[in-house]
Amino acid sequence: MSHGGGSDDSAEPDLTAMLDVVMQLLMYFIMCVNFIDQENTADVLLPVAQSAKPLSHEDNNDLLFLNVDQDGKVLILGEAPKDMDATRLWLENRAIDAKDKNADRSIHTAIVVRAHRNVSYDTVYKLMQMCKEKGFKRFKLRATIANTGEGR
Amino acid sequence: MGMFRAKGINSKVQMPITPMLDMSFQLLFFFLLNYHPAALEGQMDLALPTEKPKLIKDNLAKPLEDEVGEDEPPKVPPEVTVLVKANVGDDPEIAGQISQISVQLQEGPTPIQQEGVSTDQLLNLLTEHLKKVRETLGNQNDVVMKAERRLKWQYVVRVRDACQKAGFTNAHFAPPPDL
Repeated sequence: MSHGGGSDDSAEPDLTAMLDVVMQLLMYFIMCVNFIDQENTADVLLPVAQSAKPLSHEDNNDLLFLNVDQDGKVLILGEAPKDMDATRLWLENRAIDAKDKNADRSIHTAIVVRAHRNVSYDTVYKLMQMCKEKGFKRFKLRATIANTGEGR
Repeated sequence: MGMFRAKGINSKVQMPITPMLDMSFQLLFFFLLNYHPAALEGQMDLALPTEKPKLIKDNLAKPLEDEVGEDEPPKVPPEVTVLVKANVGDDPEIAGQISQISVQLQEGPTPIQQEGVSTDQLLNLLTEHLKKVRETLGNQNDVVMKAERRLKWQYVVRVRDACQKAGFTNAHFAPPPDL
């Protein structure tokens, strides 16, 4: 077992290849992670829709996310779950902010509604109506895209 | 410069890779733990209708008032309304599902019914009926959906899907009749 032939021999493995692989994996996960997606709460199981269109980069401008959980509570990033009254107040403030962005005091912000699939229709409708009352006119409904040929 | 090279011929400049590898592994684990592959998410543009959805009668040229949700509200009001009733009861499996669908035109409502059909089949029947109805309409793009308040959101979305398959590109959500 003696390897006394050469004094410069070392038993160090070549880590360069391993580092290359690790770096590649690291880059992959860095590219995939998107912290903005925390707006999209994982607690909300979206309905499945064939008519849902894939998101485009153009859709990412000036959005306000409203997640509605199974119990009808509105979940907003960085905020405690809200009931309808608290949401109304929050929307009022957001509407003021949105108006301040534009010189003509109009609101161009789109409301993205991410409602749980088992929440009742009246909850979602009331929420949208509330947004409408506060001056928001553009809505986008989020859903999981279904495979067209797939039966449910 | 030559002096320094001549001194140690066997000396190699080795970069310490091990700490870099350690750090890379730590970062890798961090991103692995934060990686949550989600189902492919899409979105649908939406329109809220008037408080009192108008079925076309003698106001063909009259645009809808208070229409929101779309950049350009329809010039002609929707001529067809899909009414969806929900199952009620304490059983969470059944409550909130579709119990009945009817299509309302100027002439009156037509129930979409067939004994012993599943929700999927019922929605397919709705699509077929809407396809036939659509050919007779002036406004072939807009449809109003009026669902009962207890109906689960997933079924509302599926009815919207059925309308879209029939060719109605703009679905308008009406207030629940029992709200």
